[in-house]
Amino acid sequence: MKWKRIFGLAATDVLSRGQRERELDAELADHLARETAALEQQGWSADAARQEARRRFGSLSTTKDEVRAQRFGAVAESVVRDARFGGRWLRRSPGFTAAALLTLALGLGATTAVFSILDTVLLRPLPYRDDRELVTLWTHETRVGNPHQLVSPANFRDWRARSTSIRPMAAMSYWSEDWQGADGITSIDAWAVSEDFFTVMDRPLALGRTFTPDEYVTARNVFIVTYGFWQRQLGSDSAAIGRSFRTPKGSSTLIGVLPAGFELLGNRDIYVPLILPEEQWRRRQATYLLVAGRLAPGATLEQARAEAVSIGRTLEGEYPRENEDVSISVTALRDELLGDARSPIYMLAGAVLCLLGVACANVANLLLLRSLARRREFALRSALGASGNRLVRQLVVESGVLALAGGALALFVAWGGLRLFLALAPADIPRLQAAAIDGRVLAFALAVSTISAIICALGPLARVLHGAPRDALSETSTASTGSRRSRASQHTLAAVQIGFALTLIIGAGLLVRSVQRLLAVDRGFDTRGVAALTVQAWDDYPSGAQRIAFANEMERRLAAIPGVTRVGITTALPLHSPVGNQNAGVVAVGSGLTDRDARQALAAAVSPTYFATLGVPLRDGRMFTQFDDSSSRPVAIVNEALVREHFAGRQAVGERIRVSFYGPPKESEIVGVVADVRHAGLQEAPKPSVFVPTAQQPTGVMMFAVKSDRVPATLFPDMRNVLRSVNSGLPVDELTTADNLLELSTRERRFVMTLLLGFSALALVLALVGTYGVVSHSMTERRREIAVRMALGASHQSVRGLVLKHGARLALAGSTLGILGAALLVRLLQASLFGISRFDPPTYAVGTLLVLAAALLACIVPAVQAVRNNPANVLRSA
Amino acid sequence: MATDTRQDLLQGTLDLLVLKVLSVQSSMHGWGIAQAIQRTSRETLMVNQGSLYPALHRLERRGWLSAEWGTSENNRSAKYYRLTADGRRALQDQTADWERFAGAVRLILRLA
Repeated sequence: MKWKRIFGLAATDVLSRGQRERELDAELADHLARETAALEQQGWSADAARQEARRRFGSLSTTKDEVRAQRFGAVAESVVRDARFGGRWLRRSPGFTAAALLTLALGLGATTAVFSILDTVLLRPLPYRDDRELVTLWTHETRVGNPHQLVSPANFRDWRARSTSIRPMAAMSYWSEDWQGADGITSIDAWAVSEDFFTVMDRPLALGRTFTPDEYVTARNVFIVTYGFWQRQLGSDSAAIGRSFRTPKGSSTLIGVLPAGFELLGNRDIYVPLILPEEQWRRRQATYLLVAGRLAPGATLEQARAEAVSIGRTLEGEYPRENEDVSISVTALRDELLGDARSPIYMLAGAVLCLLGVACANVANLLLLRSLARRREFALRSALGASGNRLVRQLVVESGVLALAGGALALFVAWGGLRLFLALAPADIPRLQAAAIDGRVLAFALAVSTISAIICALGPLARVLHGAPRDALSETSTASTGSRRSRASQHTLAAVQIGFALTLIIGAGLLVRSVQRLLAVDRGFDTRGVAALTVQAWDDYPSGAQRIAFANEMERRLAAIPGVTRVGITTALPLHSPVGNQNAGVVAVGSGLTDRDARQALAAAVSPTYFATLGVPLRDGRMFTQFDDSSSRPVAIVNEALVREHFAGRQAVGERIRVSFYGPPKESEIVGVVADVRHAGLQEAPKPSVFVPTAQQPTGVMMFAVKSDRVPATLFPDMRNVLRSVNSGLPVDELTTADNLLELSTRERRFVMTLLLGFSALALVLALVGTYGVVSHSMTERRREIAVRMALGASHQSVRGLVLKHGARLALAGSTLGILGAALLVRLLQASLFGISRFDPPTYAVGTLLVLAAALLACIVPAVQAVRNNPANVLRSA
Repeated sequence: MATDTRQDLLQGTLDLLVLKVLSVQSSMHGWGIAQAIQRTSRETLMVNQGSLYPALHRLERRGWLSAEWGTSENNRSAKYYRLTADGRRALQDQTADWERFAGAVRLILRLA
């Protein structure tokens, strides 16, 4: 019952605030009337009595405030009042409000967008049950030191049968599926997955079912799609389950839709059963499967690793030829997926914090300037009895209103920014495309807005708390200079903005120069007009002679495509994914070294026309010819790096080397030397490489490089048709262009560079606006001083110089901060830099000059205005 | 002001005095309560209106006073306060507290 009353009162308070205010007024009026009446009875005149009654009562508004403070929700109510007051005040100064809101929206928006990326890619668990139990398994080529090779079918089958600590285990393979759409046949990249795949990932499907054991045996006529594909291509139609789709090879039935967010590496939307002919399952050297598994209950990653090493050793004993120097490496799926994505995302986070710093400093400065303009208002309120607490609360609430409004706008900026990020981002950052503005991101935006509000309010707060009201009241517009303290804090804030902006500019500049150098580097080959088709012909053509016949037939038919000028065959294209890189042990005959001392070189089996197709120049000797075949003596071509390493730069043509490439060491004569090629990535110095003729080393991986005078991608359908006409059952492993490989190899760097450039430009504009605000305000404050100077004969030029000097001082202080910041922060960029030091002087110099120029630009308007005023008018008006 | 013997109220004693006054006079408005305190203390205790009304609203909030609106002699609306049963109990407790406190202060003044 007591509670009922309290709730009743609380409800009354909240619901009838106006009513309660009226009652309070009435009660106090009654009091004053009685006091007045009493005084009149003592003989005071009516007027004097009324005045005396008022005097005795003291401050009515303070009393009312204190009565209100007794009510429920009193604090909330006064916050609402402050917020309303703040809102009114913001509406009254639209210029200030627009500047502050825009700044906050940009800063908070960019921060929010980057957070949503960081959250999606790095912070959230993977979309599979207990993602920490998921592991990937790789062929570990111990001799080459490559722990990340794909897995052969036979080894996968043995690993799966023997492992007890990783169970279940599944394999998946790239698969290219033709799709009959409304506008003709398109090729869609698919995953072919083995039986336990969905058990390993362990997430229920959104719709339909997974593959039955039967479907892993029969023809490939069922498929599952990702949620995104179902939404985009099938219009989220649940009736699509069970529908048959036409493919060039027949028809295929959709049986299931994966849950949202299931996407793995790459944008592959279609899942089909992995069906390999029995003969293929016996292959131990054709490595093309990705293998994933789940740790058995109670097993740790360390146990799984130890077991993998022992299984690897057993298999090496059982198959000494195929599995020589082959072990197994196990990594956590999470590390596998996110390892490379971390550094660009941390870089982004660092950059966006700089931008947010500029934005906050800018808004703090704007608020500080406003608080100076309002110091009389505050002084008056303080003199009239507003407590320090009230004023502080008002300031915090006002900047809170600003920050929340800015935060709301920021959501739009974040939404647009995220779209832009996703469009620019490299496709191989896992899960990036799933980034979206959701509840967590909203909560983050709210938190950052709140923190920014507090930071922004600090400057004005310090002023209110330290300023004695009397000083502010007596400080009239005739004072010739502003308060020293407030000017110092404005200048610090402006310098901080310039500093953050310069840090960003230097970071962006270093990346721009790195990318320039990277693209200008001598790649050693020509990507123009080259398209490439990869096949895995291991099982279709088990013998060397069959492979050579297949390769020759392909080469002949590809060369017949209209516009094609050259066709070359290789086992590894430059800049192709590292999975395709192969190595060979090389030792020079007569050097006294044994095969145990062999040094690793990149290796490829190539056709006679391969070097001409890619435009790799011959430095010495000759290219391979059609006569270098299995019946002639073994020959090899090496690159200049190998000549440097093994022959100390001596004449190498005619020398003999022993090459261990797909099999036991073979002694070959060097017949030619070609120029160095940046094979493993533009940033990596050319490695020693050795090439053998395809005809002498026919392996199952074949990349057909086709050079034409057509746009390379337009060759794809023709190349597909050629393969189909030679062997309709052999799938396309990959179809790409050399330009695409080149682009992919620099994409991540260019992505970060583009974003840093964008952030720098924003930060520079904000810093420019901020500097303008401070300088122009300070010139307004000093207008009397300037008027006096001009009255005493100072020239326009010297007055303008005064303003510019002011801006230059700010810019110099800011630049010092910025250079220090850059020196500390560009460490984050280290991995992305190429060919320049992170202290590259020209970048620092140009960045600093840019910032100085911007600061001076910001001073031009105040400088022109400073001399425009007639000194006599200024002095008289005061 | 040096010879002025009028006292501002000790912190917290205003609530007690208000309760006491209302326990004698059954229903009273704010001005009347202030007058009663001043008169009864023979003008020694001055009630600051700035704290009287917050105190009245506070006591009403606690449920020690109830309030009702009436019409004053000259036809203005006036708010009349009345002691509740809770208020009567609180007055007893607070009076006992005050006696103990005043007794203690007296003891010290006499002995120390």
